[in-house]
Amino acid sequence: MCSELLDFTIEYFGRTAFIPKLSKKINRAVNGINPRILAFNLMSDPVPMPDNAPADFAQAVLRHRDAAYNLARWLMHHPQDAEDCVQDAFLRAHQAFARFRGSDGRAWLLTIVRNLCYSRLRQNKREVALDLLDENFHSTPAVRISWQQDAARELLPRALELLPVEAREVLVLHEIEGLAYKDVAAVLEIPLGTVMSRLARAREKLQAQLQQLMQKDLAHGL
Amino acid sequence: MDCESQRSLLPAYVDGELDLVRQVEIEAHLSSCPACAQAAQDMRDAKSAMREALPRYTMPPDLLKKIRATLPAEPAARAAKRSVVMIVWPYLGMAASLAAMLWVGFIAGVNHAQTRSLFADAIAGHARSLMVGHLLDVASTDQHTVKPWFAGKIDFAPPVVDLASGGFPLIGGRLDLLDHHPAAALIYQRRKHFINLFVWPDDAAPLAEGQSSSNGYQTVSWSHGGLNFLAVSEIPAADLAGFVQLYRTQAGV
Repeated sequence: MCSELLDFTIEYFGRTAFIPKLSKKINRAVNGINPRILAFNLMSDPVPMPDNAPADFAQAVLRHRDAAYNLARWLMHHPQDAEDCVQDAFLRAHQAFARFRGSDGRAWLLTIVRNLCYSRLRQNKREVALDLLDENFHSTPAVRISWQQDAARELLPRALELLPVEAREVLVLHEIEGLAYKDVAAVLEIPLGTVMSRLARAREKLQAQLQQLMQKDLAHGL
Repeated sequence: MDCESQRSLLPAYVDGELDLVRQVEIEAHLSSCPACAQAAQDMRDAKSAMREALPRYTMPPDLLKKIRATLPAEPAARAAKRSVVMIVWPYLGMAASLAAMLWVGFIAGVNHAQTRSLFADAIAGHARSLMVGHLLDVASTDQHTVKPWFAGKIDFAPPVVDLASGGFPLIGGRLDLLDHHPAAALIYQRRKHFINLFVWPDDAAPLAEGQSSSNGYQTVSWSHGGLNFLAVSEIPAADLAGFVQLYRTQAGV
């Protein structure tokens, strides 16, 4: 059942082309105004044409292997699990590539990686269900970390590892991988506004977690 | 502007996700509100700490080898079915943009790299304004509406005059970014076409007076009283020159 869901996701995501829609709009607008400007249209992102999916799997998907591995590595805790998920993800991506019509191979691949990681996490029962992140989470009195301390930087990776997976993934995608809000939204398949609120909560949680670790660390040192 | 509404936009501001108008508004607020400025600084510090202290894992070479081995060979049919045009198409785009950039750069001046990117920015800004329906932030044929609109958003005052009687009605204004500096764009109409007149402080780098054309676009540049002016349009060079002459006379620049 999981794999059906995944296939659906791939299919759905592959056909959901936000950018092509926009581009068509732009083309229409431009055609209505001044044909000469069409030349400049080529300056924007690759213009998705019907059947314009890159011919080459390596060029469209395989080159995002580090992004895929990084995400899996942060989601899975165990390097071996991460490797299995990434390997599986590439196999599935390759199978589904013929149907891929989007323009963003990275978001497409990361969605597949994430879905595989989630189903494995559920199997392992290492993580709880999806609704772990409390939507009514009220900010704890804002923690203020002094980032100049070495301890803060040393303990930061550990703090991120300890966060619930929903908080972790949004931070990994935005802060480490450098994805823009709209790309995070595409990978997580959530609206832009939700990306912003999740990101805000995740940052608060990370700082609270870090604060806790630093206090523990200090207690040990004494 | 109250802190509450600005605070909620701060993360998006620090993440560089705001549009220019909001960005300029926030910057204005930050310069007058130490508490918000401190909050923004804290966010920036947290971001850079994360960027520096959190590892980005890269795929181990062994795993890549394993993946390559398990992937079935690339079906040749898929590539073969594509016509040459389809393969060449994306590169055509790149080539065209590269050629446009080079051409703009060549035309705009051999000496000033700065000026070159400026002209390219201005032309791209003009083209973009027509493409995405972002021609106007404030639509008004009234110079007394357009001028105050800019007042809260930029720290200089672009001379706004209506030239309707001369055949160039003012239709509105917009904020744009030229070479990373906020610029006011005044939009005038000439029959079915538009003229973007970019105005921004010269910051001790006055624009040389001159006119050029590239890729079907005409530009006229000059500097006066600490402001740089750059008019961009696809109307004939003589028409644009007429517009500039009229604007300069009326605005006294």
